[in-house]
Amino acid sequence: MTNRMKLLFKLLRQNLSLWQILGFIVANLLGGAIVLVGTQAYRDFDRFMEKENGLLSDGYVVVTKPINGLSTFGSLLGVKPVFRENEIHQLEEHPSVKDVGVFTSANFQIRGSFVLGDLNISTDLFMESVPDKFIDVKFSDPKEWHADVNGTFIPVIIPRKYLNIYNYGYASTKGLPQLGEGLTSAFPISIRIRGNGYQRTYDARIVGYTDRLNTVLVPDSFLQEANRHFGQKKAEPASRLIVATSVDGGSSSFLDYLTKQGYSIEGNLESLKLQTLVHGVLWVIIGIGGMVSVLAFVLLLVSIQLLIEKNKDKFVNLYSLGYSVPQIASPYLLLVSGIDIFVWLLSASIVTVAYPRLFAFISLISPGLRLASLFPLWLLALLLASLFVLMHYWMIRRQLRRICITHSR
Amino acid sequence: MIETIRFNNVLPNVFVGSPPEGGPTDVWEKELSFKKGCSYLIEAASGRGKSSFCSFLYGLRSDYQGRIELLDRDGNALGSTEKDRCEIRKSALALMFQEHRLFPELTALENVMLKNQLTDYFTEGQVRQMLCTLGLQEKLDTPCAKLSLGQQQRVAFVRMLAQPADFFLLDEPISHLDAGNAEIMSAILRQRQHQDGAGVIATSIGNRLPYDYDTIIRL
Repeated sequence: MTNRMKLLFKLLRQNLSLWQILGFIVANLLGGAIVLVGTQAYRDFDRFMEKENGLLSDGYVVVTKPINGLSTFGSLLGVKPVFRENEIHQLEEHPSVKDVGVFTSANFQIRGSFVLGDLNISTDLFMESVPDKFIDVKFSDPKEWHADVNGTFIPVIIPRKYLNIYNYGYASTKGLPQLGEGLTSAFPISIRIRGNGYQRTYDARIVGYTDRLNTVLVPDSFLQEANRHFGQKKAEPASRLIVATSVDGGSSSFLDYLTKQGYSIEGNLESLKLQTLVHGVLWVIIGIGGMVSVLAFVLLLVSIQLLIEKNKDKFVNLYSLGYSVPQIASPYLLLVSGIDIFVWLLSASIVTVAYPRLFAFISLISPGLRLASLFPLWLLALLLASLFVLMHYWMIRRQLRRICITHSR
Repeated sequence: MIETIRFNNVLPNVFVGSPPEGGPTDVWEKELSFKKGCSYLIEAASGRGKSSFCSFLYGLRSDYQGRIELLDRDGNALGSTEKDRCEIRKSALALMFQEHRLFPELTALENVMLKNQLTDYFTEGQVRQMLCTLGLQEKLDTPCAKLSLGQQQRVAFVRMLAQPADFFLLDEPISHLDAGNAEIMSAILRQRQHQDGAGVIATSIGNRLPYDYDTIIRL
């Protein structure tokens, strides 16, 4: 600190209330810690959802037109509730919708057979496909999710819940072996397709499990081709759609829109609702932390403003001696900047130490949770500290300018 | 660099419609110039606007009609912005306030150094020396709140000198001083005036600073 600054500080520190500054430090530590914990928890939760659902802060929903008595009657006559082109287009235009994909159904007969222990099981099957980007199974090589009508192999994805139903509902009561996900991928299945005067048998394997789609999936390109080859009718219009939504873009308005249009939702609605709910709760927590911080900000500002009012005569004298407003303001700005930066960095330090411990405890209850990097938290703390410093700086200088120029005249 | 200070028909707002008592004045509502290098005494009875005169000139107040111009060698007006005013108070116009305007919690030395650190005009040794010359050797580290009015007046005088100046403006500089200290003050000021080629404008309501005035003006 320069000699001039020392003298100025000696002069201007009169009436400085340590209790008020301490009050700010405690209040902003609390508010800052809540904001930082809230944002970190938000990121961790999104990572969790990404892992669980293959999506990051996005929800996927399957939209259908409901089947009621009339449509049941209609479907008997060959008229099914389907989405028209303009309805799909309207859906794509909604602000909460990021992407829309159409389900394609197999338009031919399918029979699957496999051997399980002593059992030789053979059954009629159904197959559907959606564009590859909507599938929540990651492949290291895109060729793993590819099949050719003239080839011999079809990869299949089934809902994870099917395996669970088998393992926990069927196998355990029938004395059959329970199957792990790795084991089932080695499980040989034979699929025979028939239609349009053609017939062909393929080897098939389960290559993945989906939590998003409640159907048996095969590659979209394969099914399109197979429908042309084996299909007896022309292409079916879309009866089910998969919709990628941005949850933060107003999911409640999206749900309202679907209800208004008379559409139904299946699939990950619970996940969407949970994500919306948790995001909402975390925003409330961040909001409360933010409000405490804002109050702390105001508290420090008011204490410094009171101090400035109490020292008003001194500023006027300094100004009339030739000191400029920035020079007069410098001790206060140094003090306030120091306190702002200290408090935010201390908040970040406390959260850095305490949050992983809290997180480890929560992870015991939800094993899927993984701690995200704490680096962005420090960036946020620095950003907020800078914001506080700039706002305090601007307000203090403005007040001093008003006092100096008005009262020295 | 201020070469001339010019008063053009200046009249304090308070005298508009009710002129000051005591007869005609050489300042208010007149054309008047103060030249660098010359010395002036503004003499007035109480209530004639003497402190207003100093405040107007120094730019601390603007409640007057007419115009006050600070002109450089080429006749350009200076000090139009607040920033310029600040600069002028550091480098061209030095004012010794009638009410001293010292900071009571700072010592005599600190009060002078607070100004000197802004201008870097003296060394600390020179400041001490000057305060000692004015008889304040025992009071250097005494807070100004504990100094007598006469001692405070001497501190305020030294503080006024702690900057380069084209004009020294002294508002009743010896109202609390004895003749001996007034003479010392005069000698120091005379030396600075010759050294800097500065102008001196002193005011008085009777107890005038002993000086070789070029012009005496009745306010």
